[in-house]
Amino acid sequence: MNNGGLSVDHLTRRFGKLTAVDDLSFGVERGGILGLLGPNGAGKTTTLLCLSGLLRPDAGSMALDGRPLGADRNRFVALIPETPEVYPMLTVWEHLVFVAKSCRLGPAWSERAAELVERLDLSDQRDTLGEALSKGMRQKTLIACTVLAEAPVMLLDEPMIGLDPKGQRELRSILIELRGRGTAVVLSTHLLESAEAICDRVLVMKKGRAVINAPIDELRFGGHGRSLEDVFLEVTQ
Amino acid sequence: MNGLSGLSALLYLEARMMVNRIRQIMRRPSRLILWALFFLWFGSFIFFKMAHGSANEYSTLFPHKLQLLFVFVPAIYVVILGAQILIGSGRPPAAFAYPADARFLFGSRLPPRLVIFWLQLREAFFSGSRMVFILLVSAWWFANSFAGLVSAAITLTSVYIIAFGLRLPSFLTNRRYPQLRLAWLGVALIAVGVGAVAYPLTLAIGLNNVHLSFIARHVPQFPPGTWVVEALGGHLAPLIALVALAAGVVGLGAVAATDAYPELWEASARLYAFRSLAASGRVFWNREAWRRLRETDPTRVSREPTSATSVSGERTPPGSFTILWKDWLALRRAPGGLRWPIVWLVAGAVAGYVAAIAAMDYSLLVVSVALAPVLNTTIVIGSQATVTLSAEIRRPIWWLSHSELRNRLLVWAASGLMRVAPPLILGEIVAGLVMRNWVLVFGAIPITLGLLMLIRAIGLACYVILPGRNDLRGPGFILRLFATYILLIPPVVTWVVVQNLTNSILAGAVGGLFFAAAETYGLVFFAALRLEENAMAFAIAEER
Repeated sequence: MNNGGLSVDHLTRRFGKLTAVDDLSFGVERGGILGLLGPNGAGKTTTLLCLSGLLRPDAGSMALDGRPLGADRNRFVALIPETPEVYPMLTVWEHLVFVAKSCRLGPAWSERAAELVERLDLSDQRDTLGEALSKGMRQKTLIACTVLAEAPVMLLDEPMIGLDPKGQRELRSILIELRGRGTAVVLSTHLLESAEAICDRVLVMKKGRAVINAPIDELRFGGHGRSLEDVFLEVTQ
Repeated sequence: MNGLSGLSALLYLEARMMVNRIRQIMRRPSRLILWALFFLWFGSFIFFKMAHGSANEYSTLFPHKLQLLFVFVPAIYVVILGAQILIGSGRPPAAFAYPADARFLFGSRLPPRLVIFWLQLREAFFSGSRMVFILLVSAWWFANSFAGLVSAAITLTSVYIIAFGLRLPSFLTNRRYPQLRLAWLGVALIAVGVGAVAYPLTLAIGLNNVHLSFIARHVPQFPPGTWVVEALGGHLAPLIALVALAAGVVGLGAVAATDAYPELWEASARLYAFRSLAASGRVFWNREAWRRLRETDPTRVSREPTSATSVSGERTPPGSFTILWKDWLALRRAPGGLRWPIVWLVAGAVAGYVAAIAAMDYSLLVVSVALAPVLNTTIVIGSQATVTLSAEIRRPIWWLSHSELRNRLLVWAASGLMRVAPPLILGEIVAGLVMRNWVLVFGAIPITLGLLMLIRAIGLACYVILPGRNDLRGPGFILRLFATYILLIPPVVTWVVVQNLTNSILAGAVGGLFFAAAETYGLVFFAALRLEENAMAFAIAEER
């Protein structure tokens, strides 16, 4: 396992008799985007919840740049969950203020926050309360907050769902920028085209186990011209 | 991240939410009129009552007669503390207040101890506010002084915080040192407390157990129970001791909570799901509700049945009656299947038999007096049963139907009686058979269904006027109850008038039922008119 970026070793999480994540090991380099793919119930969300610290794994370990991640991993790992939850009584801008304050960001945070609000088409919703935001807008608010926090590891669980086409494109470009800044990104998605377009590596899960863990180019060229969709359907059947 | 800047971030979060909430309320001040009238009336009532309170009772909220019951407080508190340790040793408390806490508190770089401390402080603040409100509302009965009110509120808030605050340290201690077997300490405390409470009862039935006597003599002499009694009695020193103990318990939880986020989050996620289901009034008997709850408790996934034999659909009723069929399937497939409805049927039959025997042994007046609170409670519960249509409105099965909306609403109202009506009807039929009262036997079905349908229709009509759940609390509750009683009067008056004119109970019953049916239809028609082509607006208003 490499020492740069996020490394996960033998991660296991059981729910009663069901093993949702089974001895899973993988790594994401800093400046790399890993696509976490798999059919429904493969264990993708459970994996992300374990990595973020919202679920306690039964076995396994995680490390960032070779340093083991323990109970304090919420300082280094940011998660955008599948269901975007925001505070009903905070405006979009106030969410960003809270993140800036709680993460003790430097004085330039407000410019970056304003830029994110602009890019994600949230300008008109800047003073809208969380309870009045649509799902897509809540998703955008969470994306803006997470990007603003500048965590070295970013986990995204189905972030494209609920976003309009412009939002999806903007998110893709933000992720590419984050890669350029050395963030390790794990992107769980069912949108194979998006994964193919921006991911460096792909980890395909089935019944909690990794069935493919390879660079996207290797899959593309080693697969004799087949698309990621063809490979995915073949290994998950 | 130092504690001070972290604290300022948390203060910012809380302050902004409070300011925005106030602004939000002030945007529609008309919604406050009911509350303002209520508090004006209630406040003046309390003020004049307290202003005339006797001087010797000035230091305490509770009258002396009520204080006689305080002798049980230390033992009961021991039971509560034991129960919290027992529960806490197995499962952590749901510490997070909002689903967004997962991202914004949990995912922040704030120290976990600070976050846990803050969460507990927030809980203490809101529980204290609730306590003051409860005391204010109940103070019309026994309040004598503002000082007593304040000291009782502080005492009861501290009692609450100590009890529920124990769960987190219990959980963490048990996880770190499982060999301590903390659950047994909880069981022991419960046993001691129950023993102390039970002792006077054992004396009453002629038993004098030496061990129970020992427990009963000594338990009431130990704090914190004694502090509670003394603080409620108006003494300052035990009140300070209780507050200090509450602060200590909160501090202990925060200090120990370095690595407890995942468990706290799982417990909180379950609570959110439970709250959302409870608010929709569908917690205990809806299969989907149980499925959603189960989803938040993944450890149960493999134990619960997740499939059922599909119905062929050949005998499915058409049109609006499909709603009845759907709810029947939900009833059959609820956890436990038809076991609980059958248990309720048996309970209804037994209650009917007992009531009939009592009616034959005692005078009808005595039985009527005994049954009046039961009937009244049924009306109160029925009138307050939350009408929630948002989940139905959002489902295709609701809006794909070709039948008229008023017909669907009528069937929806009827399908809601599937669980309540059969035990009541069976109880009445059994009572009628035992008493050989044929009016009761044959009238049970139409009278019960007529009454319950009318109550459902009143609830529906209230819903289309005030769909928001928050609007139906406090004064809204009283107004809705008032409306229910007012609207129940015409069928009853019709029954009495027709019976007196024709000198026939049957004619009276038919007249009353006819009026009730007409009123039900009118109310449902009104609801349909309001909901037609705008149902989603009500669903949104309901959930807001």
